Amino acid sequence: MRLLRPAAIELRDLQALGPGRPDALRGIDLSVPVGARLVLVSRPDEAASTLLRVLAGLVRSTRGHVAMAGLARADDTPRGWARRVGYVGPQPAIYPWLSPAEALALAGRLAGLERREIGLRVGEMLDRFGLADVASRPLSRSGPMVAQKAALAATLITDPEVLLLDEPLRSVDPDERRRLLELPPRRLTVAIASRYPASEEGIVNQVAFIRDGRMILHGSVAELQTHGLPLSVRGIEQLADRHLATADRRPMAGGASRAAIST
Amino acid sequence: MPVTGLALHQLWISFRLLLVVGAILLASLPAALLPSALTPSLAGAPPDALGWYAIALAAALLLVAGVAAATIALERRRGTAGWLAVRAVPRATILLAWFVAFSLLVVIAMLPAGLVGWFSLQNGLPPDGLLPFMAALAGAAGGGLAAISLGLLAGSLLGPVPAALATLLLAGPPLLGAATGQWGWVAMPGGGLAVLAGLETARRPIADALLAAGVAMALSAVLLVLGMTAFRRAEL
Repeated sequence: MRLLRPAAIELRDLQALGPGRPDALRGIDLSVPVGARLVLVSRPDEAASTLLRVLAGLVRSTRGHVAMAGLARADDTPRGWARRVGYVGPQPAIYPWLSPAEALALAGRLAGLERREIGLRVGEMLDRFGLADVASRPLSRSGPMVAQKAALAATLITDPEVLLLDEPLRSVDPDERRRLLELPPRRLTVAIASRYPASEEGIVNQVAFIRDGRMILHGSVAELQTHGLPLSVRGIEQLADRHLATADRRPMAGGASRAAIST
Repeated sequence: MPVTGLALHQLWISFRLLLVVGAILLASLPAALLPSALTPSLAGAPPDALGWYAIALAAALLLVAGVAAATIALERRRGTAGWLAVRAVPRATILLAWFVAFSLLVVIAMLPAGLVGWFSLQNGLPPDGLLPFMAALAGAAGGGLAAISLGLLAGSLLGPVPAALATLLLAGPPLLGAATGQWGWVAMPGGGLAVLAGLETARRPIADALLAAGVAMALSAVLLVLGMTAFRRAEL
């Protein structure tokens, strides 16, 4: 079943260099509908991270077209991106001398929010992420769990339309992590790069698999379950291989195979 | 500008602010401790107090440029520059903010360093030597800003240690060469230091110092544009 809903993430023939790999991404085609929750898995592991970093504008693509939240990705970062697209990397990357409250306020200020709105949203995020008790303490004195929560909260403070998460909240207790990643707004599209897709069970409803720089599967979690396969790298890889082996598969521009997608 | 404030705060927290300001203040020590020359220096003779003052300033400015190179490379590696970039802070603004932060520190630190130098060396200078001395210091500061721009360019392309080393290797010869009198040509980035070192015998020190400052600022602008281009293409 093909969906006709608008795409939140649209990639065509995307190519990029990765750390130490001249061909990390070799022609990725992907269309993620609005509201989807996608887990990106790759062999080697870095390719999925590289893809998110390209989408976030941290790594330049060498070729191809990227559009997110209705905007085409330019070389430099246009103002609109700050409000529409959020990215959280595996490291919090916030200055460690900032407190969670300061980091959130800074993120709001850089995104152009008004002072009053910043105050309201900072309070809301601190409560939601359980950071109120450590709101004024520098991140360097609060440990990695607080820093990771603050990084995600600082991204959500602008209420983005597309959220790119690279191995998020790995220092957080699994139940707490699941609670924080179950993001309610329906219009929010989430792409999570994960080496442990089983930990995203219940959070995501789509899977994508990149092997040797090519997108070889974009399907639904439901389809994995239909085939009796687990939401794991092995399970996703087996589903990809079945699709590739199927005679009536429909080849895509990048050599990928698209499975049925339902959100 | 919030990004410049962040840069200054980061320099303060990491003690690099103290290192930068301290190095420039310490550069005035030779002027304060060595006796002022009462006779003009001869070519090939060891440097006098003024010469050592210029050499120490050149070394301090080189250190600042090296720190700038390592700092911007570290910002890229740690992801803090990326954190700003994904929040729609233009990459050029990030680099410019770091340039402003380092330049502010250099200018602020050179004021007391210049005062110490002037009060210690004025006996060996002509009676109306204050203005030429200040012009020579401004020329030297211009050379420092060009070295910082070079450091930011190197830091946009290389890792922290290679960037710092490349900056020292490239900026060292013109700054130290000028300060030691080996490169006497003033129309070069370190020309202000050459004017400062030869202030006792200079015939038109103000014009030479302003020329050196202008050349240094022009080079600094070119290096900054190159740095911004490199930073735009860099992986953050």
